[in-house]
Amino acid sequence: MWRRLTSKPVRLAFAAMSLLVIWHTLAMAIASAPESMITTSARLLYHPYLTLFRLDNNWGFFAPTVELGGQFRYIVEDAAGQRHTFVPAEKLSRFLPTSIWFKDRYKDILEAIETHGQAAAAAFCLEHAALHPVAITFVELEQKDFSPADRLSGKHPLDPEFVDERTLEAIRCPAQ
Amino acid sequence: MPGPVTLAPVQATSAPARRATLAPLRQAWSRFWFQDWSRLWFQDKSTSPLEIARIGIGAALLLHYGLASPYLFTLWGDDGWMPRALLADDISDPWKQSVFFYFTAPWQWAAFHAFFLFCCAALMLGWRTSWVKWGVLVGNISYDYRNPSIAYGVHAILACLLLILCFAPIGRAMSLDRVREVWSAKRKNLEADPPAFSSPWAFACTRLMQIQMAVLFFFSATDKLRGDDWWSGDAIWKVFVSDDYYNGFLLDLLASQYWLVNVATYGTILIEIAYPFLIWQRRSRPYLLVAAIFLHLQFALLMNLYFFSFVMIMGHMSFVRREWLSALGAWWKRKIGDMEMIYDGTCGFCKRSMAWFLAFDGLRQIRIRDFRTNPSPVVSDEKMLKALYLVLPDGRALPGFEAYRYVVLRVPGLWWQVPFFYVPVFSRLFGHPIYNWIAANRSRL
Repeated sequence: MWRRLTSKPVRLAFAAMSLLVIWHTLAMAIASAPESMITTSARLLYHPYLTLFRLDNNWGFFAPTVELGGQFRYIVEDAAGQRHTFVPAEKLSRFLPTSIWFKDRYKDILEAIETHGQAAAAAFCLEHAALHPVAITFVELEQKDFSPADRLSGKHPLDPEFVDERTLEAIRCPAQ
Repeated sequence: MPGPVTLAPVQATSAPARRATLAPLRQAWSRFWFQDWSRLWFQDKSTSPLEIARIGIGAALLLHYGLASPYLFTLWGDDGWMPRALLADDISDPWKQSVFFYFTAPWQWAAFHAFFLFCCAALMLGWRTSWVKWGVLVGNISYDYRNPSIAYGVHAILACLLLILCFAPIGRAMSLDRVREVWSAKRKNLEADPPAFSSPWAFACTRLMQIQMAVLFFFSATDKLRGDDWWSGDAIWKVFVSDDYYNGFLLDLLASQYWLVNVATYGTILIEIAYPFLIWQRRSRPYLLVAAIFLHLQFALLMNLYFFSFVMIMGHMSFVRREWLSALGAWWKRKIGDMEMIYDGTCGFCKRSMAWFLAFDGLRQIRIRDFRTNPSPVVSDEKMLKALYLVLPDGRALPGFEAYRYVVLRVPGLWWQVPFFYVPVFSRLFGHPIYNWIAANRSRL
């Protein structure tokens, strides 16, 4: 096709296309590359492009280490002082994207209880209004190592011996 | 002993001599620029691989964000999980932009969400593609930056692929835009056959998407190689032990056959590290492509990462060779056989509806014959006055509704009509009288 590349406008278009593919290819590499003197300098130039188009991603899926999981629970304390434990993830369908969004939400609550706790507690109080809740307590089960031998002896990764339970402070329900 | 080297003054070199000296350099440069560089980036090719990615990504986004509709204000609203105040740090970067940052009333969220879903549907169908693709890109980035806490791997790869699709001249094949183009030409002349679109820029954008996938796999593999879980071959066990991906049956199987964990762990790394290097070669590409798609099907089925896996597979489609698609199309045409539609060339309505019908026949499976100028040896003119006919390779001739019914199942571009023509009992019950009425009144339509 380049036999047709005789006119100046076509040559200019060819040069512009070449510059764009070089620019974008470098952007893809710089966005994912580990930090070094070269990439740090290049990032100064590429930052607007990478950020505006949301290209600034690294691709370390489940890497370098696979995080041990956990489970989010909450306890509803009712007016009579009784405590009801709920595991909200059990209600989620793994076939729907809501499952991932809600699990991310639960992680956010546990990681930043001071930021998200109040709003989350208010939502759970509303959801369980029939129990006449007075407070919500968030609980995190942090998973520990679980070996194939444990499984072969009939254990479950969330059995008490394989988790650390972390109870966060209770948050009072807002006045109805 | 050699004497001192004397350099001839530059100004003393004559112009023809200089030209002669530089000629090989100039030749090498032009060979690189016009042959090697253009072979690498700018071959005159169709957009087919990108169109497959467009259709898949459009459908995936439509489903994903369509399912999010009931949670619009919870996920992205100011009174939801991520109040705007919590984003203060993110918003301080002027390059992180989201249309949601500028909304003040709930109807604006709802209107934009509806607009975005419309753009996703239009992208999937290829309707006004050159415009709607930008709406999808802006929407996708806006959702991600408005609530970064729910964005994960799939959103990252979507942003990268969508930008490349925006650069690319998509919507030129397998799209309603192409149907409109062909329809417009065939309305003037039913025999018209607008050439399929191809351009060097389409190839360059396909190449960019290929590089994106290779870069992704390369860094995904190298990150894994830094981790002890992956080196020791235990990573897959830890994934399935995690409550997020727990699967009792699978865990029992892996515990009793632990070698499967090692094979899966090392197999994942092997595919990811081999992909960026071996996917480029003609011979190894099919194997790497199958391996990568197999890997993502495992993620979908065993880890329930359907959306992520599907989008990744769409990215891999950039490596599908046009020759494979052509061979697939040729195989389908051979399997279905020749089809000839005979119509009445004096009937304006018949010609308009034929033009519309043929516009969806991207594989050019249907031949046409106007019985007024070119009578059929199979169907008599008396029969032709009553209905359109379809002649099959075995000599059978199907009239009217039955002709359309036969064709819609066999022409991929018309598959969307199958539900109308194949509803048991109802399709024939209503289809025959409707067709017969139209055929009888065609001169007045």
